[in-house]
Amino acid sequence: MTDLDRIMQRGLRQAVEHIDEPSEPDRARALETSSVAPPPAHRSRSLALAAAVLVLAAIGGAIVTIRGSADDPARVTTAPTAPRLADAGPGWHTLETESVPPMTSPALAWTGAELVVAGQSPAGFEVHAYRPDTEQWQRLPDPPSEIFDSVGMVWTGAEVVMVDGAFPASTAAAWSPTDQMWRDLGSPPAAQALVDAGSRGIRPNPTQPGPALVWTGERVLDLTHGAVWDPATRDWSALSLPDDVVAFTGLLYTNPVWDGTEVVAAAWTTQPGLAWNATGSTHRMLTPLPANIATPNYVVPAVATEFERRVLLVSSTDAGSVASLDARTGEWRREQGLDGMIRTNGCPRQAMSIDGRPVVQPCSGEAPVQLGADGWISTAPAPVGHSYSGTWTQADGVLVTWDSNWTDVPTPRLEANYWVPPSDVEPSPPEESSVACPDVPPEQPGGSGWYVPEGLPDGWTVDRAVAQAADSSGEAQLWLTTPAGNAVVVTLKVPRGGPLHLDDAVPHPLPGQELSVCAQAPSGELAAELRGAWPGAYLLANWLDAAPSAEVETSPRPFEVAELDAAVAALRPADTETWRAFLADVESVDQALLEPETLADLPDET
Amino acid sequence: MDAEVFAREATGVQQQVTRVVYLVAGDLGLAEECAQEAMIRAWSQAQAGRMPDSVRAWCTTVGLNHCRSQLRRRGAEQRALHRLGPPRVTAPATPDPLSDEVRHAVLALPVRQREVVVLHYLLDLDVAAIASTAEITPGAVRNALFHARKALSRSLTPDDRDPAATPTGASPAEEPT
Repeated sequence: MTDLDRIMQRGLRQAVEHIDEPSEPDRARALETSSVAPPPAHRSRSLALAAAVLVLAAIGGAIVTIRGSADDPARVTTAPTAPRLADAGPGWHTLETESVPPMTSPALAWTGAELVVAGQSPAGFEVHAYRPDTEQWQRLPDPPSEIFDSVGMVWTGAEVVMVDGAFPASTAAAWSPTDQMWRDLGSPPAAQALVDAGSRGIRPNPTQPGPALVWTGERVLDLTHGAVWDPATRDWSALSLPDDVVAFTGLLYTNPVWDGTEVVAAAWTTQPGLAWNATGSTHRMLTPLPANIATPNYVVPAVATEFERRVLLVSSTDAGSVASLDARTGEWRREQGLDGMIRTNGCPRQAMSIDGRPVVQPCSGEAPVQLGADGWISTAPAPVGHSYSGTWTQADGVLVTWDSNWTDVPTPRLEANYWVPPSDVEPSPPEESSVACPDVPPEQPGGSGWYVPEGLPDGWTVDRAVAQAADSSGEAQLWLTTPAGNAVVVTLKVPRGGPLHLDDAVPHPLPGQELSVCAQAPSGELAAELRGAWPGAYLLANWLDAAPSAEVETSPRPFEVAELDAAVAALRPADTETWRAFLADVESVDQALLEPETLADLPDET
Repeated sequence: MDAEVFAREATGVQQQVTRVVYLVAGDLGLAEECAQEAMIRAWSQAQAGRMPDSVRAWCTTVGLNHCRSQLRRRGAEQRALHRLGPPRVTAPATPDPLSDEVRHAVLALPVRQREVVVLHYLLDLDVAAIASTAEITPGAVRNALFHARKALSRSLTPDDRDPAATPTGASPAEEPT
């Protein structure tokens, strides 16, 4: 222990010695003035019970052993996965909504265990959550910021990120089902180019009531505001946009699609669409629809969804023509159309992949159709009175439709249904990574150690190379300095206890510059730390911190992807065997590394 | 869940969370509020049959989350830090000037580094536990602690002596791994 360690330990402990366990009156007062309000129906009960509990604790006054020591990781019991909706069997079913008010322009999000619904009710903005395992609704606390418009919501694997659709001034918040609390995410910075376009009246009607949000496995891209939320740094940044953004504003209000590599926004036109990388820091123009498929020079709204790593685009006119795009190769392909199903301009309005298969609603009120092996199949019949319209979401492999509006006269409307796909429609198998990443460069010759820092681009230096894997959490880091003097921490994370078996990772050597291209699509059941992961590993650049650390915390410099790509390209392991050895090494040393209880006892290297 | 069981589990937790948040936020009132919020949420979780494995760790995480959220509501974290100035001490000042010096040095750190420093030095948590509690990666823990120790060395040793460099025992926190 150093002098500094002693000073810090003594100083901090003395600094809080005067803070005792609150007295019972203090507790009661604090309970009454707690600032974050639980749902009104639960608040008084919670307060009363919490107060009673704390009174019991005060009366008992016993010194007890807390289960687990203070060094225990904060293992929060997460909500169990409960595929109960699918248990109802194929077809349409009604979702019980007795305790939920009708809400206008509702937004839906599925967390893996709960269906979160948010919208404007007669009493104001409300958020409710339904757990299929308990078949219970719970009203969630109000978000920390005022909501002015329809919201968009997206699940990141840890939180539901909610963004107010107001433009340009908006608010955002994140709901953590684990912590049962909201975080205020501040305001998404609206892109000036979009603000300027909006001031000139160039703001097409979005296909969805709330902002267009996409979770890429790394960031939440808000195409409506031109902003990007990074959960790791808890900060907003600007979405990369074309200089002549006015020509593309229509695309920003379509339903963007994450195809496993990029966020794709396309319309039924010969004009090019746009694609963003996973961090939203770069964009590119897509190969336009061929003239023999598209309606030339006329932007026709279309709905899109991901299908076998392609983007399926359904025209709202043109007899329901359907095409799909492989954004990586630029190849467009005509698919079987919804012949005769599209009767009205503006249809369809909804498309979504359920259980690996696209589902599209031809027009309002009509039964959705699913793309099967032999073409489009109607999901009907449904019991009389069932609504297929409203807001859609995918929840645990089923399609949830939520149709509500409290302003309807004479009777506010609320009908929620869900559709379980038939088991005879085989989900498409996931593509092999070797197929998805044909351009991975050949393995580079190895150097000493399992990392290969040699071959760094000019100007790069290695601050600290990790000769051996990994620390107690299965991570190994390489510290680099960029030509500009920025520090880069590159972390190799080996998943343990996740759904990916180590053997699955072995055929894939540590990826090089194609990492972002090969990143897997987010999956509803993967642990948060594995989202967007390369099969078996991912590289995480924590931040660049050439700036004073105080500034880095709140305003990290936008990450230069090209810088990272160049660095990562130099980090390829010698060969697959080296990678295999690394994985084996991690497993063997893991236990020893987990034993130390304090940071000082943790081995520096293993 | 039985209230008495929860009461046993929760004994002393509120005090710990208050202390941690107080050192991170520099505001005793906010710390008490965050700790209280954590206790309420813990009880709510227990009621729903989702008792955290470690009430102590869970409440610390929730308390820090709530603290961060409250700081953000007051403005950007950095602006809040500068605006806060000396913490609002509603308890008797500590007699030891060292503790005030240390406390102010910690408050001068970015919020993330403050959290890591307090969890490490006050609660003696290891890397994994800090990472889990602060909801950041282990690498970020080491990084934050590395930079925090450098800054603390400068602010707590005006004679330019770098205590982190004393050869009385190397801590891995001196260099990020």
